[in-house]
Amino acid sequence: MTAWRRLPDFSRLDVSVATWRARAVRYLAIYLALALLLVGARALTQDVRPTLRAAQDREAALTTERDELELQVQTLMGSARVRDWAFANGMRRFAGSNTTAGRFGGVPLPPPLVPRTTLEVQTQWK
Amino acid sequence: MEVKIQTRSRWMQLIALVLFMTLVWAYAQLEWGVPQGVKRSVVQSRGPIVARDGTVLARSVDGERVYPQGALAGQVLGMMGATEGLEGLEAAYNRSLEAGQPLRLTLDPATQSAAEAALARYVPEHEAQYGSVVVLETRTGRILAAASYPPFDPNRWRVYSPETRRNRPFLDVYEPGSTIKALVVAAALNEGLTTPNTVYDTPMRRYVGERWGSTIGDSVDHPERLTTQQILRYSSNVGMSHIVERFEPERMRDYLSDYGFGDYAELPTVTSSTGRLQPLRNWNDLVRATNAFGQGMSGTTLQLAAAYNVMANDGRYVAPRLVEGEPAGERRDVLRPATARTIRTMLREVVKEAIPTQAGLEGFDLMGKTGTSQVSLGAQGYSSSLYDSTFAGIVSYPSDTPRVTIAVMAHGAKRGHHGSQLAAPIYRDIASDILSRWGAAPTPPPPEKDEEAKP
Repeated sequence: MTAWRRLPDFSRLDVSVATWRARAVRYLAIYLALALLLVGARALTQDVRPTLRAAQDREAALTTERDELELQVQTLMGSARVRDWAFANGMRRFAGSNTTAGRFGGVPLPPPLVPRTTLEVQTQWK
Repeated sequence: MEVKIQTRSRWMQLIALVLFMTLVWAYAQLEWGVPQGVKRSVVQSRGPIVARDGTVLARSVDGERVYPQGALAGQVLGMMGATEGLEGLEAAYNRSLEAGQPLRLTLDPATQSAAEAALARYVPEHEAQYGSVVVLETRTGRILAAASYPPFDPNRWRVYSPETRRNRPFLDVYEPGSTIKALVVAAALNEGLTTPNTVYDTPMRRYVGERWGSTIGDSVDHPERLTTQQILRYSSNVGMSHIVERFEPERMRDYLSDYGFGDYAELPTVTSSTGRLQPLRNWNDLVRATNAFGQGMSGTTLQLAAAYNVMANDGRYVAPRLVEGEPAGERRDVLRPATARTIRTMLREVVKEAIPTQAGLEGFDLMGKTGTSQVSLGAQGYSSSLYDSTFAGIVSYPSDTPRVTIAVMAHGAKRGHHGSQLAAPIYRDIASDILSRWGAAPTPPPPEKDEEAKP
């Protein structure tokens, strides 16, 4: 009995043509407005995706360029290359150089300082 | 109606043909090479290989595997095929590199390039076929350099022959010749069988062994009686045969084995050769004598360096290491520290007296021993024209503080094939380079007596 009471009373629903027409017009207007909003938003942001793609491509290109430059630096700074350059420019190994031993005389002492017997004081007043 | 059906069936045939050709194309892609996108991502995500100081030796750039240092340590690194390592470390550590993990080596690029430069200078100069060098850090066993000649650039690996790609210091097995003498003398000193000043009768030739014996001879003229020190200085085979006369074969073989000969160098993952020690049942007087001067046994340059490192490291064997972070290999005491110090003094004298200009540097503490061995041709005996020139030595700085051990081998020299002519200068150049980079100051020569007498 209680469950029966909870069901809507269909006999009292407004199912007239005028009411349905009004509802249809209202919903159509809302749908059109939403569609317009979506199309407008899409139109306004249409350059975002191409720009993003271009940025991604540029990032990839820059990453590749960075990697290649790093590689170039590593190649140029390789120890074998530095060694070849050093020898080609007349450098020699420190350990392989001729060594000679020599005696050096002591550095002459500076003249003794003149002993000062007076004390000079300067006072500056602010 | 019939025409319409025919037209439709033609269209269906065409579509079926296109679909079939698509299948053929896809299959061909899989069969002849993986799809480019897959290859690119596999290569790109592969971990780099770096040297001890962070220098990049191999990395992936823009979908390609590149080796920025060119031929530096090329044979050690190996190379990469389409998607996986084919040789060297690229193959040995393929799985971890594929997982993007970096591989840090113990190699020191400056030492490696010094070793390669020395080989590149002397091996062609002596018209030798190939050569190899290993440099070890004395205390830790870290491999600072593992060089092969001719050079190999993994960036262009397809143009090189398999022989050139060979990682010679780890793989080439040869008879080390007279370099072994220092190791055997050290073992005899350790066993109390000789002293540096023990005197032996040393004719230029001597018959060793009984029924199956043979005559051994010396190539360097020397006095008829030599001390143990002089036996090393003149590299006397006859003298060595006397020193080992009272050496129990089993003990002597154990020493050689403890030095690392006849077994793997305990480098995890990396391929290396074992060389060969004769089984104990074959040991007779002749085998004992020939083993005492490095014939009838074989090893690699890596093993020779590790063995000399025992003398440098106060008698302790340290397994060589190539990859940082891996567990250290076995350590074992082979010689007493006092014995190691004695043999180092003897080796220092060898350089000073016999090869001061070839292997020595004025004011620096260098020590080592040369070797010149005829190449074994198996059952045909020894070649009369093919030689291996070897040198193994230690670099100390400050004096008697060994820091680096170096082993050198050059094969098949047509001019100046003696160890003192070819391998020793390679050692000297590498030592010079290492000492220069350390900024090591030479020890001044002792003042002359008349100068000392002056007030």
